[in-house]
Amino acid sequence: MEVSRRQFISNGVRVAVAGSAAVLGTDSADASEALPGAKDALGMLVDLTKCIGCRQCEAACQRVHGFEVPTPAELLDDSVFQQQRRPDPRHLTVVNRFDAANGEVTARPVYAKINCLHCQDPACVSACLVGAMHQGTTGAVLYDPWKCMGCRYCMVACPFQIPVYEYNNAFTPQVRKCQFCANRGNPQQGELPACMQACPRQCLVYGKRQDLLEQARQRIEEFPDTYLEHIYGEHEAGGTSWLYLSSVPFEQLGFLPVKSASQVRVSETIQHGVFKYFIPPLAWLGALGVAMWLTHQNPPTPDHLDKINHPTNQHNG
Amino acid sequence: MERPWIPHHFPVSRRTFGWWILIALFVQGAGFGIYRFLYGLQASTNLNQQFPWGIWIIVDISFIALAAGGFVTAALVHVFHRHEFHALVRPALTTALLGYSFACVALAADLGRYYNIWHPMLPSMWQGNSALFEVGMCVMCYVTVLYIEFLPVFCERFLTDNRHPRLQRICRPLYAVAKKVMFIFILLGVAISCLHQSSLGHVMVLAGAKLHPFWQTPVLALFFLISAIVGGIPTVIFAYLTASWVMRVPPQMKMVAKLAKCIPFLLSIYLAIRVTDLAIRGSYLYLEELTWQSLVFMIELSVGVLLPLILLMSARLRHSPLGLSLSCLLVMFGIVLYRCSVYWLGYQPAFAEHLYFPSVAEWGLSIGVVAALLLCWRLLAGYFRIIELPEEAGTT
Ligand code: SF4
Ligand code: SF4
Repeated sequence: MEVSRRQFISNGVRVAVAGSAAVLGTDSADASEALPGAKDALGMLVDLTKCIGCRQCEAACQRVHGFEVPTPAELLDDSVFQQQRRPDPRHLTVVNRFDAANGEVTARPVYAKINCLHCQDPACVSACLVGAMHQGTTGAVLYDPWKCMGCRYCMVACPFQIPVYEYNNAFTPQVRKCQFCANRGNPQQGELPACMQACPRQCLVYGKRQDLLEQARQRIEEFPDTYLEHIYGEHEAGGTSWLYLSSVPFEQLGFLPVKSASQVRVSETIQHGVFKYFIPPLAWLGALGVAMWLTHQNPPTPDHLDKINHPTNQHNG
Repeated sequence: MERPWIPHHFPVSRRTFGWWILIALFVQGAGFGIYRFLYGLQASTNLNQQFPWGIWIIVDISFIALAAGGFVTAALVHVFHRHEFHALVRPALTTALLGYSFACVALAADLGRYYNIWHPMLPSMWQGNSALFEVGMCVMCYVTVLYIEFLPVFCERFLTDNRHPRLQRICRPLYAVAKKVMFIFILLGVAISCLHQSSLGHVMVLAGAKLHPFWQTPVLALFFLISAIVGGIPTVIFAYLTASWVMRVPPQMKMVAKLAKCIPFLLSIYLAIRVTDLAIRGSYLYLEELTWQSLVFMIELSVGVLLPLILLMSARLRHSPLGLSLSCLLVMFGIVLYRCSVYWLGYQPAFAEHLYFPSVAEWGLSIGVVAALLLCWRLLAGYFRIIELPEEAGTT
């Protein structure tokens, strides 16, 4: 009953979203149109309690990016879980396993999929000095390698430690991170995120962030024993498009305890204060000019510059 | 008084042991530079996904703190008309010019797509929310201004040398125009470098919790500006004393000692605001634990700030070339350590397995860049009138 109900919801959302998701494939060009926290941002709700660690999402992500795809045998081999993995330039999403919760070994391990959370007020976008990192109209955070200088400020800025760099590429290195499949060229596949389509357990639900939040709250309300009262991503870093539900505290699943206020607001408020209509810098310049004028009365420079005012006099010969 | 400038007063041909060491250091640096551009960052650096910024960025940030002497002396002498210090203007200008130029070299080595380094110039790519954009713009403008400020020095050199009549013909009008409009560029230079220094600090505000609470503060911009001024003056004095020593010109000790008098004053302001910030944000609590961050923090404030503050209060020490040089060096150490802390030692990203430490190639290239800077300094000082001759000093 419970499962079929959720499936119904998620399938319904899949259909409802199919139309609007077509936008995703086409918007990679227009940057930062979406305001932080745009109402119609598209998001993904990840229910960690349902994940069985099959890593089909990883395989699908590898496939659509042209990276090495794990074979079925490799997918069954659970030795990858022996260490905690982070996204790297050839694995934009990874699933980790956690065997214990609150210090006790759990009956069933918990799996957590990690990738870019697509912040609503993304630090990487605020950081990027040439607009290579930018926010699409649906809230997805996209990357344009042709603009990128490779300064890696986006990596310093991201509070979730997500973007990774192709250090091994000497000539055309790229910053790599999940782009919510908005970067994919294939129109047949390009409409929906590959990981979400691949998940056999419907852990991932794609839709408007607003709707997903409501759905998440509903689930928590309905199954208070299953879920913690914490939707990771609702407030973290000013809110993210990816939202997570879990039965185990997120800190124990490799999720960083990120402040709810976005650091971007702190940084940009100061910066814009200093540059408001360019008045403070000009005022500073003016003040210096006035100081220069006022102290002008001092004896002039006994500068050797003056000595060669008439250089021809000395060097006529 | 009417003595014309004698070209090649400090002939570079007087090659010393130090000269050859610098050449060797430069050559090895160039080798590592070629290696980096052929084989990429993975092969040449110890950077990783957690530590995207390494020593090449740190060298930039530190160089630029020390190069701040350029704008501080320009402001002192040309804006506030304290002409008694004018002998320092040109050494400081040269230091700033070379410091910024070579910082750009180190930066280009660090950029993954260095061939896109010009992108911030394209208005279509401007991203005014980025602190790094501000840094980039300021660097571009300031380097331009510095080269313009150097123009009179360049012209003067050829105006007094009759062996280059054609150059002389170009230099004469150039020099006349430059002298008229120079005040605009001096003002611009001071204003831009203030913005630039502060934006360098502001860059790390976005790093949020990744920067240790000792250093993460919303007023990083202000701290970087003040640290530039505090570090700039001792650097100028140090550079001047060293250059005089290398070129065997007796330094004008009275003048530098007078300038050095303001250092303890500046240092105490700097120390006061650093401590106030620590108190307001409550991060002194972290001092209770003996971590190596707290160690670095204590060393920075005690050896790099407090010690020179006390030392430089002694008039006798201020008048001794060696004592003054060493205490200036301490201040420079403190400022560089502060900037290293903000960009490296205090940066503690999640999931980092160990602290980043530069690789051999990273050290090599950085040392090579410093050697190149010193070599160029020496070459410029040999070719242009940067260091004043003692008899000229007597006329002031
Ligand atoms: S999680 Fe990091 S990389 Fe992804 S949008 Fe947010 S700041 Fe950018
Ligand atoms: S590395 Fe590229 S995408 Fe990241 S901030 Fe720098 S220019 Fe922007």
